[in-house]
Amino acid sequence: MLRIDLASNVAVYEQIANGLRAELVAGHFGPGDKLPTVRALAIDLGVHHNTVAQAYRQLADEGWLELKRHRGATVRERHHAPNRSEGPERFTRPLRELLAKALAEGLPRKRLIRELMDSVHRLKEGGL
Amino acid sequence: MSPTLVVRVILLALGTLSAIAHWFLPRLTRPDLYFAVTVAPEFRDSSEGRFILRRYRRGLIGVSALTLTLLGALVVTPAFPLAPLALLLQLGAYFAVYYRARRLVLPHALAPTTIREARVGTRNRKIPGGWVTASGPFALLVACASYLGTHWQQIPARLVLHWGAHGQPDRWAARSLGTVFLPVLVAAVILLPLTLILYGMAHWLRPIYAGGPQGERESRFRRTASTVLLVMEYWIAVLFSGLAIRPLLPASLQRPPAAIFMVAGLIAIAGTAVLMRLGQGGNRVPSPQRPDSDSTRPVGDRTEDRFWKLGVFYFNRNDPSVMVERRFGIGYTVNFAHPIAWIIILLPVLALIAVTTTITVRHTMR
Repeated sequence: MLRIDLASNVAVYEQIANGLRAELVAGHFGPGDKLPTVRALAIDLGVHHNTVAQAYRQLADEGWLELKRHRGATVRERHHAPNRSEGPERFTRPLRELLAKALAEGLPRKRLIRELMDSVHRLKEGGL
Repeated sequence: MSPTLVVRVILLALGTLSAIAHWFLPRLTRPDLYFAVTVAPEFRDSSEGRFILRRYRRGLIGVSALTLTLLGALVVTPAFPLAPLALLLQLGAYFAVYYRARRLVLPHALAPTTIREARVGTRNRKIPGGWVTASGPFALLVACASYLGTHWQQIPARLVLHWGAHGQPDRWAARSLGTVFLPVLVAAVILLPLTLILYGMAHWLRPIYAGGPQGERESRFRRTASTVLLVMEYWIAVLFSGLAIRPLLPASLQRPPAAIFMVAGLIAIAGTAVLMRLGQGGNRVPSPQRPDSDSTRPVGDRTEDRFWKLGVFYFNRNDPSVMVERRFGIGYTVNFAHPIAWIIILLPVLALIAVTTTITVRHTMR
């Protein structure tokens, strides 16, 4: 299930890309599987089709999808991520910032640790 | 049963059924939509909500008494051709009553949810029976046209177009491509926008719930509505094919029984009753046992109140959906900001004008 919030500060196309990436990382789609067409997903989410197209292009750039005109988006076999100049700091820094924001907004520390451990546990089992 | 009696009965039935349907409509919509306004789900059961409903129904009783009396008076007199105007007057009066109730609900409006959901996996949104079933009515028309073409020489040189009140033919036309194939053409023109709507219900309609028990209820409602539409399409194809091949039948069978024209009305009534029983979007279907673990419960139908003009017409340029659920009523309506919506609406109107003009011109030139 893909879920976005039109009132979020995060751009809609990024929310779509993040949601789809989570599904792909979790293994819900295998190589060769087709994703919904841009138009169909745009109708379901109530957003412009360009927004969905942008999300699909981002995932294609990351090596997740193969886009063919009039054929839709197909999941690619992805052995490793494309080379990037930034290291893991690209993810650890936003993660630390997100944790700080959660604490600042009053989320109990124990609850936060529990959620993190739950995610770690699921990662170890190959899911998300 | 004479044709005029059939028409009178249909007109009276339409007026009465309209009154009954409008009585129940406020309770058939989703709980978080009340007179086309997004509200808290428990609002319509609150004292204020019940007060608004009582006022609405009192207004309904008043206008129904007036308009049904007028309709009944017209139907039993020679002025019954004016009866459709009484029906229009009735609908206009009902709209005024509804709009007054809506204005009372507006101060209690809630902001609709900004959450949107979508299933990314397998989508089970197809036309019931697939394209094979959907093309059946057209296949029937093609078969009918082929039959007429291959039996052209057996079609009488003069065709009966109309029977008088005493059952005797009183209007004829010469055999021509226009007169022979007109019923098939009219049927095709009627079926085209209906098929567009059928396709739209499968592919251009945004579900409010992407999954879970509420999503399943919604799917069931959509499938039922599609099935009712398909049955109507098949009946239209059968009816007009039958009208088209009349000239090839024995003279005693050429005049269609007047009651046959009531079948379409009966299909519409039965279909509407089934959908009303399900409730808009299936919201009156009993919940299955397993918990709703897959979807949140948004407020509203994921459209904003400001895009619903008068609460009835949806106009949103930023929404790619061609069709959305009605907010007051049963079934779906179009997004008037979408070009395809205008094709769906205007096609039958233009077709009706074209057919009427053709028949009138031919009649004048005869």
